[in-house]
Amino acid sequence: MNPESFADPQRQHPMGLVGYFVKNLYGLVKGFWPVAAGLVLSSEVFNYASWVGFGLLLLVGVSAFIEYRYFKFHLTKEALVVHSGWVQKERMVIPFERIQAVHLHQSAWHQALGLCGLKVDTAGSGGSELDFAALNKQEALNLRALLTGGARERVNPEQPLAESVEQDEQEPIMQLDTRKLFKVGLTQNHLRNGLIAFGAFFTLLEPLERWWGAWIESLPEWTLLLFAFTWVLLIVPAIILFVFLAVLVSVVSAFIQYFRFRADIQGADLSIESGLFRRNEFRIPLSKIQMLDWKSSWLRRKLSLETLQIHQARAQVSGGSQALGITIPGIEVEQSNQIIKAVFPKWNPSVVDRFQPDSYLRYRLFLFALLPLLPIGLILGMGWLFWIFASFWVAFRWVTTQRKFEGYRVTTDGVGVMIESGWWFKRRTLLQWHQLQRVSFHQNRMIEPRGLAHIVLHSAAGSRSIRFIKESDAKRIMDFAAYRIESHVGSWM
Amino acid sequence: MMNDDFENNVLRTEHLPQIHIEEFEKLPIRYRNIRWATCGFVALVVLLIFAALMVAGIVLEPEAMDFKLFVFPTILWMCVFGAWGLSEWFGFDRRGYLTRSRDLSYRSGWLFHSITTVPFNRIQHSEVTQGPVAKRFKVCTLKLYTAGSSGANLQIGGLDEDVAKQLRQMIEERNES
Repeated sequence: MNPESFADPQRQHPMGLVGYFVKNLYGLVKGFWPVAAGLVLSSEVFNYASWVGFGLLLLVGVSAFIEYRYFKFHLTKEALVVHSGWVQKERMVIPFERIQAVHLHQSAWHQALGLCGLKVDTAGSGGSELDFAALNKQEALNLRALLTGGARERVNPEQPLAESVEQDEQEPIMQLDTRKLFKVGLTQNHLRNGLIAFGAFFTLLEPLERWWGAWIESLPEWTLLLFAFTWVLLIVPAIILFVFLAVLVSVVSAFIQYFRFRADIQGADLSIESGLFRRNEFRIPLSKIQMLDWKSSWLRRKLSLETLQIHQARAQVSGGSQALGITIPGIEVEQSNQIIKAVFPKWNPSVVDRFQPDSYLRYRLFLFALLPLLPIGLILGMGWLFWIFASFWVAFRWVTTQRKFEGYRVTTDGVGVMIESGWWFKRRTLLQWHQLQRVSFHQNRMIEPRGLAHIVLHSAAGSRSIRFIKESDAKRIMDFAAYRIESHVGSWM
Repeated sequence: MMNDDFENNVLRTEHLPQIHIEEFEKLPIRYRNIRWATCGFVALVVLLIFAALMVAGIVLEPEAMDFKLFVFPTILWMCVFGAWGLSEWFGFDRRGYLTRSRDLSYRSGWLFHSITTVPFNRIQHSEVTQGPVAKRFKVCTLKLYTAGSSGANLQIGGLDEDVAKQLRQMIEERNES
């Protein structure tokens, strides 16, 4: 690999034009498809569909050409420089030390033509700072190597993306075979996936109302009468169908997203590859990782699996959820420990200090859990049925809130801090004290007289709270966090 | 080879430097006047808009106007601006900042109060801003930015112009050293 080959401003591979065309067309369809479907179905517009379609394709084509034509990049000794824009010209300079990670991706058409897409993440961006639509694969691999710190890897463009980096003989930290992928699919949030599928189905149905409406009208009258009297019998089959489709959507989406999933430590980077139609390869320098976040449902824990999210530094975008995070699904405890050892090598789970919330939280959780009884009682009336339901609800919520309360736990070994919460859905977060950016202490008029307080630890990858702990403990944590941050010598990422 | 300077003493958290509330420096009293004036001005504007709507209603649709129409907005107005006024009355004395050799802390709030500490070695950049009213009263706002956020992470409003400049200069010097 020769850095000189990127010294002069250059365009992407000419097929980048196709990449931009597909991206813009997808954006147009995604943004305006309900309007477009409605217009197509109106007979006035339908007559001119070919002209309207041609006009839109021309518009998308011209915008893709401009985007491709005016996008040039080159490397200086210290930075990646990108020129873009036609009317409004932009020059972006990304110093190498600001680059968090460089990801490669290969859609089906990339794979067919031996090309690669490349994304650059920086701490200043909520998502990717820069997206190259298409580069020659060798060029992409060389560029990534240069952007992420030089010749750490030897690359062979003849091999598929998943095998193109230098592989050691040792086994990767984890791989997802078909059986594990199936487990991951089975333990996803089926209700969410089912509702998304349900919503998508009805959204698709709406513009086609003219056709299915005509079909229903063509049915004989007795079928409608039969349906009117027997629809109650269809409730159970409909629920079974919904559950079946939801699980099917979950399993299929798991296969599409995590097919041939592989996580590995490659030198000083964590490398993750996955995807059926679109192969993604994420590579994050270990030193840039700010936070590890495990989430699990009851079912996933029964299969000894968790989902691990790896967070890098980011600019918090509105909403705060779009972090520069990478997800490892279906990870086992031993594999988690290997990743902890690589990312936070000084973390020692033999606990030095442990904090738990005050009992006040137990009663507060219970009180809030009882609140739904109020509107139910007001709407349905406080008859004997309500009191039977209420007594069951109180007993059930007492048990669940107890478990939830017991799930809150904070442990620290002086180097890192593990924050655990939840009961049915559990979450645990691991941060290093010295990587924190700031720390804040919070109290309100309800908890101050009880001698309680909250602490919020702010990292470059997001914030985590330690709630309802003793005020003296909160102050101790705050002083300790400040001490660890301020006494740390060297880079925090 | 042994290093005679090497030490590995036991470090207890109670021996770490602590933040003491009484050490926080108060903000200038003229900043309290600005805050009171802002609260009063907003309350007056809302009251005038409400009164104008009521007068318009009485003139245009006198039969549709009812006493109840006055009650809810008046109670809402009193609650909102009453709470704002109380938080200004009791909360101002809680506002303050503490500069230590390695960090800056800011304390604020009455019903909900907080103390935020930003270590100097995590500050990405700082900013001093001053609006026209603040300029008239010779106060300004110091904004500190750390990584991982799109906005200012700590804002200290109502600082003396000289104090804000000194703080900013000190932060820059600490970051360079």
